[in-house]
Amino acid sequence: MNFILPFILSFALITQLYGQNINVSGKVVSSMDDEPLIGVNVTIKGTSTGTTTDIDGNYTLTNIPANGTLEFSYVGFEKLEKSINGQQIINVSLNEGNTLDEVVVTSFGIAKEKKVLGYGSQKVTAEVLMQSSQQNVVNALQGKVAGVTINSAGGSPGAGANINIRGINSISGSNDNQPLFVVDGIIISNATNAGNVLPSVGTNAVNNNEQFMNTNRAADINNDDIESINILKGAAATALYGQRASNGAVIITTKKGKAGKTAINYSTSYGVQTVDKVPLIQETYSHGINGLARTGSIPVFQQYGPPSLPGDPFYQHFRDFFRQGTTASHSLSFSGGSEKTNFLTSASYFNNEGITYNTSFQRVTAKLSASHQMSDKLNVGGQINFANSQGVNPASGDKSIYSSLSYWSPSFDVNDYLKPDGTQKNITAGTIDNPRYMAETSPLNTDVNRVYGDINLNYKFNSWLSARYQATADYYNDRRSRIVPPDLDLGTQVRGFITEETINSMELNSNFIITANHKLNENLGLNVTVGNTITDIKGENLGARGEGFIAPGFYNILNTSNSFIRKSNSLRRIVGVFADARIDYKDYLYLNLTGRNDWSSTLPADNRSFFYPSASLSYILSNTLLKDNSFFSFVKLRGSVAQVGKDASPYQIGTYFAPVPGFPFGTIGGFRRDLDIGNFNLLPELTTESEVGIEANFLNNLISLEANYFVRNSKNQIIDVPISNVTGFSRYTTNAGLIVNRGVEVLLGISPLKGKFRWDIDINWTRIRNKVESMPENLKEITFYDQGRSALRIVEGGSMGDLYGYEWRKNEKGEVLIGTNGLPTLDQSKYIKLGNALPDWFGGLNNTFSYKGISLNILLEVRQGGDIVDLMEMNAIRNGTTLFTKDRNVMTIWKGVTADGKPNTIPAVLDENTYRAFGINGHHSFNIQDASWFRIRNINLSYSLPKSLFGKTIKSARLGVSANNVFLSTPFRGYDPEALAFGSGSNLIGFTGRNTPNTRNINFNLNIGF
Amino acid sequence: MIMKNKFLQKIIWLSLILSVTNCENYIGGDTNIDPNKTNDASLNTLTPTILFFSANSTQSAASISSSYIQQIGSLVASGTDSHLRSTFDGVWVNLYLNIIPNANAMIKKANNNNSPHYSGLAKVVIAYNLGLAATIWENIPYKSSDNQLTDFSPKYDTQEEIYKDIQRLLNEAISELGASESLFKPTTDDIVFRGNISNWLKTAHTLKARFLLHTAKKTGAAAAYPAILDALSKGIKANNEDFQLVYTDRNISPWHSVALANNTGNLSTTFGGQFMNLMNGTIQEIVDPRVSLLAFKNVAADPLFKGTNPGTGSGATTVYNDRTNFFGWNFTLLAPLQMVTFAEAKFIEAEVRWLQNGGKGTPDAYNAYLDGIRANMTKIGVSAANVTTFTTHPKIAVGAENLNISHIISEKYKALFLNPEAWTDLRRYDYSNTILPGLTLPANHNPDLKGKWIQRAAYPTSETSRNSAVATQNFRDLDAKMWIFN
Repeated sequence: MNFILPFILSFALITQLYGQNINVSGKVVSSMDDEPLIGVNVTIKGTSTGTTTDIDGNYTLTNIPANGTLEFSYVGFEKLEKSINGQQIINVSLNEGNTLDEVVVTSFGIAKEKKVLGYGSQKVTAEVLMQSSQQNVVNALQGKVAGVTINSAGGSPGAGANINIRGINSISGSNDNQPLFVVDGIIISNATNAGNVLPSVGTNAVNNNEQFMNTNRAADINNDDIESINILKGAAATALYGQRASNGAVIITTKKGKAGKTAINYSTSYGVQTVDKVPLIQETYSHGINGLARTGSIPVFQQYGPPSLPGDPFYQHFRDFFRQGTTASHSLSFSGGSEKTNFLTSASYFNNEGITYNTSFQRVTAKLSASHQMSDKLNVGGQINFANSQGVNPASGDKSIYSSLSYWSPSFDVNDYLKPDGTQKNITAGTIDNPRYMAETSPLNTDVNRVYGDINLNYKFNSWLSARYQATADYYNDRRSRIVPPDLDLGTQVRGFITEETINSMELNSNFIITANHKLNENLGLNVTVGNTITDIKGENLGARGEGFIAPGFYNILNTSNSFIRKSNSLRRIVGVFADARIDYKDYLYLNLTGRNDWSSTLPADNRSFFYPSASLSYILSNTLLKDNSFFSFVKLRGSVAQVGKDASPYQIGTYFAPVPGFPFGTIGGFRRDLDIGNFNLLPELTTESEVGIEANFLNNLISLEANYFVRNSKNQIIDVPISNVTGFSRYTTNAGLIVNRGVEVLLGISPLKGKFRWDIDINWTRIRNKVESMPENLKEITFYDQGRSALRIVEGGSMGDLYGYEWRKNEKGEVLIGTNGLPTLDQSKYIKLGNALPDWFGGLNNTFSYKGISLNILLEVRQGGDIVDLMEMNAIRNGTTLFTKDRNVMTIWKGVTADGKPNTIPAVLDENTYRAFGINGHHSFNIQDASWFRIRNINLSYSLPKSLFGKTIKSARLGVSANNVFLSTPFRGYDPEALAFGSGSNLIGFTGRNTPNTRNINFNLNIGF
Repeated sequence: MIMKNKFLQKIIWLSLILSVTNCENYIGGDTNIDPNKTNDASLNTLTPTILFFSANSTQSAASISSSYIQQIGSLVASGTDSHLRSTFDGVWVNLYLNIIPNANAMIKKANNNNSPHYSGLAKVVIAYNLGLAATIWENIPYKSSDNQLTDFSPKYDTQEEIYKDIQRLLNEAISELGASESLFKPTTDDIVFRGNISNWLKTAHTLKARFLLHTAKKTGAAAAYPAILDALSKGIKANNEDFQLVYTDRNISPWHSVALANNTGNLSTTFGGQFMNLMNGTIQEIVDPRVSLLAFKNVAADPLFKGTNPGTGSGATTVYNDRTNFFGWNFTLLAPLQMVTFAEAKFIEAEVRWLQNGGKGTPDAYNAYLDGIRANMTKIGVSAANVTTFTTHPKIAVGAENLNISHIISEKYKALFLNPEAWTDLRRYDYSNTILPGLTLPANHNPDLKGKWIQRAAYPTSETSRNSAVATQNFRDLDAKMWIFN
C-alpha cells in the first residue's frame, strides 16, 4: 500500500533530455475506496500537454517524453507526481485531502496558488458546507472558519444570519460590518432590509431591526450550486476589491459543467425542527397576584397567586407554544459539455415551515451557466441566476409574539387562542396579546424576486498576456406587507394598520483586467495584473402605511382612513483602477504589491479620489532552509501590511429640508430642516491591517497548521457623531475615532488515518480583542442601544460590546446600602460597565471519519465568554413565571450595611414585590448573564452506496442523516443565547429573548448522480 | 488573428480612456444629491412644522409637569409623580431641532421677501417655546442656538437673558404682525389660526403678559402690573381666540394616544389625587361639573371621582377613557392642545389686579376670576345652568372682598389642566398648600430632594454627554429655585 506518498518528489531542475517519446496509459482511483476518479487532470510537468481521465478513470497520453514526469491533480485530492521512467502503464491512487497546491480564488476571480499568498484565507469545500444541512449559506459556515463570527437572528424560517470577519470595526450600532459576497466574480448583495413596519404611535421599539429577524439576502443562494467558498479575511487579501471588501470577502465559486457525458444530479432532503432550549417555569405558585388567585372577571395574568395545588394545570408554554417545523428541499442539476463548451443548469426548491405557527420560508432558484472556447484565444462565458424567496416572518421585538409569550401565565393554554366567534381569546383582556393569535394574524409577508448574473470574456494574447472583461448585475425586488389588526396591542392606538413596502436594489459592475505572467529569468518571475472597475449601486424603498381600518375585518390598505407614504433612494458610484504585481524569486520567495485608486460619488469633490496600497511577502522555508526535512513537509512564513480606504453612504453632505414624519397634518404639508448634516470636507475612512502568519505541514502532511496574528486599525471613521442639539443638528457626519482589533486565528488539521479508513480532525480557534482607542471630540460615549435596565455602549478606552447595567446603591466604602425595610435599592443614577457581549474566544472541532462509502462527521463548537441580556427573562420575572421566581415568602437577610455602617441584620421577605416592583431584574447580576456555550453543532452520517449496486444509469447515490444543535450546554437561563435580538446587518449585540429561539434539526438527505 | 488582436486592443484603450474622461460626469454632478429632499423650503411648509412641534412640546412637558403637580398621577408606585428626576427630552429636542432652526429659516425668508406676518408668527412661536423651556431648566442656550456649526459647545444664556429675549421677540412680532403689507401671508398653513393675524397679535400680547408675570418679582411690581394689564387689554378676548392646536383624525392628539394606551397593557397615568380632590368636592365642598366631562369612573361603586394618591400608584377610581369609545374632554381624538387660553388671561388679570390692590380683591379682579372659571367651563361644554350653579356656590362666589390668591390659583390650576404653565404657578407660590389647599408631598418622594418640592428638570442626557463642559456649569440641584422664583 502506498497510501502515503511523498508529497513533492522534487523541485530540482530536471535535465531536459531529448530522448524518445512513448505512449503512456493507466487508471486513477481513490485511495479510500479504489473507485475510479473521473476527470482527473493528467499533465506532463512543465508543459500544457495533458488529458483527463474518462468515466472509468482511465487515461492515455500519446507521444510523450519517456523521461518526463506526470502530474495528477483532482479537486479535493492531494496532487501526485510520478516519473515516467519509460513505463507505459502508470496506475495511481490519489489521497483525499487538503493540498498545498490548493488553488484559491481571490479578488476578481483571480485564481492563485495558496502557497504564494502572503495573507490568510480559508477555503471551505462544498462537502464541508453541506455537512450542516443549512440552507442559508452564512449559517452553513458556522463553526468552520477561524476569525469569523456568525450569529443567526433566531430559529424562524429565513431568519437573517450575521457574519463578521475579524471583529466589529465601526463606532456605530447601525453600520453593517459584514463582508462582501461574490459569486463567480458577481458581487451580490447580502443586505438585511429592516424595512418600516411600525405604526406612527404605540410602540417602544427602538428601530425596525428587531421586528422580524429579516432575511440576509445571501440566503437567496442555492447551496447545492456551490463548489467552494474562499474566505478572504484581511485587508491584504481583499486589496483589489478595496473598499467594497473592507470587512473581508466571501468568495463563492459555483459548480461548472465538465467535458464528457452530461451529468445529472438530484438531491433531496426532508427534515424536522424543534425548539432547542427553553427556559424553565416554576410550578410552585399558581396564577394570580398578591397571593390571590385570578378570578374570571379580573384580567390578571401574573403567576403571583397562591401556592399551587396538586392537579393544577401547568402548561410548558415556552415549549408548547412551538410546533414541530419541517424542511424539505429538492435540487436538480444538469451539467456537461465538450472540449470547448461546458454548461450547468440547475433548479432548486426549498421549503421551511417554522416552529412558530404561521411562519415559513420558501425559495425557488434556477441557474444557467455556460462557457465556450470560441478560439484558442477567446473564451466567452456567463451565467444567470434567478431566485424567488417568500417569507412569512413572525413578529419579534417590542410588542411581539415573543414579548407576549415571555409574560404569559403557564396556568393557561397559550394555544387556546380563539373564541368561537373567531376573535382573540385573551386571558389578559388586551394587556398583552395572545402570542399565538398574534402569530396567526400579524406576520410579515415578503416576496423577493432576484436575478443576478454576468457575461465574461477572456482573451489570451499569448502565453504570458491575457485580458478579462466581466460585466455583472444583481437586481432584486422585495415586496412586503404586514397587517396589524386593531385588537392587537401594537395596533390599538392607531385602530389597526397595514404596511406595504417595495424595496428595489440594483448593483452593476464592470470589471476589466489584464494579466501578464512572465519569467524574467531563471530565478525571477513577474506576475502583473492591472484593472479597472466601475460600480453603480442603486436602491429605492417605497413604503405606504395605512392606519385605522374602516370596514372591520377587511385588512387592505385601501380600507384605511389615514395613509402615510415614505420613500428613500440611494445611488452610489465608484470608479476604481488597480494594479497587483507579484515578484517570484525562485520557488520560495513571493513579494506581492498592490495599489488601488478609487473615485467615489459619495465624497466631496476634493476628497473623492483616494489611493491605498498593500504589500505582502511569502517565504517558503521548506523549499530552502528546511528542504528535504523529514519532519516538516512544508513551512511558510508570511506577512502583510495593507490599507483600505472607504467612502461614505450616499447623500451625507448637504443641507436638506424633508417632509416632517407623520405629515401632512390633515391635508397640510410640512417640511423641516434635516437633523443630520455632513462635514463638507469629509475624508475617506482608512483601515490599516498588519498580519503575520505561518503555514506548516508536519510528518508527511499528517498535521497541518496555519496561524495568523493580525492588528486592524480603523480610523477616520465616517460616522454620524451625535452633537449638541443646540447647534440645530443632532448628528454630524464626520471623520472620527480609532478602533483596533487584534486577533489570533489558528487552524489545525490532523489526519491520523489516511486511506481506506480515514480520520480527519480540523480545529479552528479564534481570539479577538477590540479596543476603542479614540472617540470623537466632545463625545466620549455612544450608546448603541439602551433597553432601560441595561445598555450597549462604547466609551473611549472601552471595547465594542461593552454592556452597562445598574448596581445597588452603595456607601463611600463601596458596601451595599440596605434600607430600613431590609432591602437594597437600585442606583439608577448611572450605568456601570458590567459585562461585554464579545466572546473571549471561540472555536470549532470537526471530526470526519470515513470508511468505504460511510462518512461520519461531528462538529463541536465552543464560545467562551461573552455576556448577554435576556429580554425574555426581564418580563418573565415581573410576572413570576420562570423558575428564577420560585423562591417566595421566605425571609432573607440581604448582604450589606445599614445607614449606620453596621452589617445588615434586618430580614426581608422575598416575595412578589421583590420580583416585580422592587425590580430585581434591574440589577446587573440578574440581567446580564454569561452566554458561554458548548454545543454539538452538527452530526452528519452519510453512506455512498457502492456502484456495484446499480446499473449503468445511476452513477452514484448517497444517503445521509444530519442533526443540528444536537447538544447545548450553557449557564444561560433563557433560550439558546446564540440567537440575537437585533438580527443581521447591525452591530447591536448582547441582547436576546424577543426573537424565535434557535432550533434543533434532523435532516435526511438523498443524493443521486446519473 | 492579428486583425482581431488589434481590434481588441483598440477597444481596451478606448474603454480605458472613456472611463477616465467620463469619470467626472459619472461620479460628480447630481449623483450625490438626495432626490427626495429639497435644499429650500417655502414659508408655508415651515409654518405647520413649528406649530405642530410647539403643541407637541407642550404635551410632552405636561406629561411630566402635570405629574409633579398632581394633576395626573402614575399607576405604579414611585412614578414620575414621586418627583423623579426628569429631563424633558421632547421639549429640548423640539426647541433646538424642530422649532428654532425652522423658525429662523422662516424669519430669514420672510425678511428677504418682505413678509413680516410670517416673521412675526415665527417670533411668537420662538418666544412661546423659549418661555416653556426657561421654566423647565432655568438657564438655556438661545443666542448660540442654530449656529451653523460655528460652535460645537454652545453657551447657555441665563434665565434673565432669555426673558429679555422673549420680550424683545414678542415686541418685534407685535410690530411685524401689525404691518399693513406682507407679500406672503399665512393661510391654511397656519394650522392654529388659519391665517387670522389678529389672533396672532392677541396671542403675542397675552404671552407678554404671561412672561411679565413670571418676572414680576424680579423686574419690580410697580412697572410690571400696568404692563401686564396693558398687554392683556390687547390680548385674547374669547375662547375661540385661544392659542391651541386642534388635531386631525389623521394626526391624533397625543393625549388621545396616551388614553388609548390605557386600553392595553401600557397603563401609564391617570388623574392625580390633588386635581380630583379639587374637582370632586373634597376640598371645595361642591362637585365641579367639569369632572364628569373630563374623567370616567372605572370603579362604579365608588361614589367619588378619585385620582391616584400621589407616588403610590394606587387609589384612583377614574380613567381617561372607558375602554370603549368615550374619552375625557382632553383625551378625544380631536381634542385641542391648549397652549395659551382666554381662561389663563382672565386668571392672570385676576391675580395681577388682586396683587395690585395689595393682596386684596377688587370687583375687577373678582370678575376676572369668575370669567376665567366660566371661560373654561363653557369651553369644555358645561351647561349654562351648571356654570351658574357652580359660580354661585358660596365656596366659589366668595365676593370681591373675600377673594384671595388661593381661590384664583385653585381655579387656574383646574382650568390649566395639562398645561405646563400650571407648574410655574405653583412654583411662583412655593407649592404653598394654603394657596392650593390639599397639596402634600407625594409618597415615595425622590430622596434626592430631601423633602423639598421639585423646582426644575435636569438637562437631557443628549446634551450632558455631547456638550458636557458647558452643560455642567449650569447644573443645579432639583430643589434649587430658579432665578424667577427667588
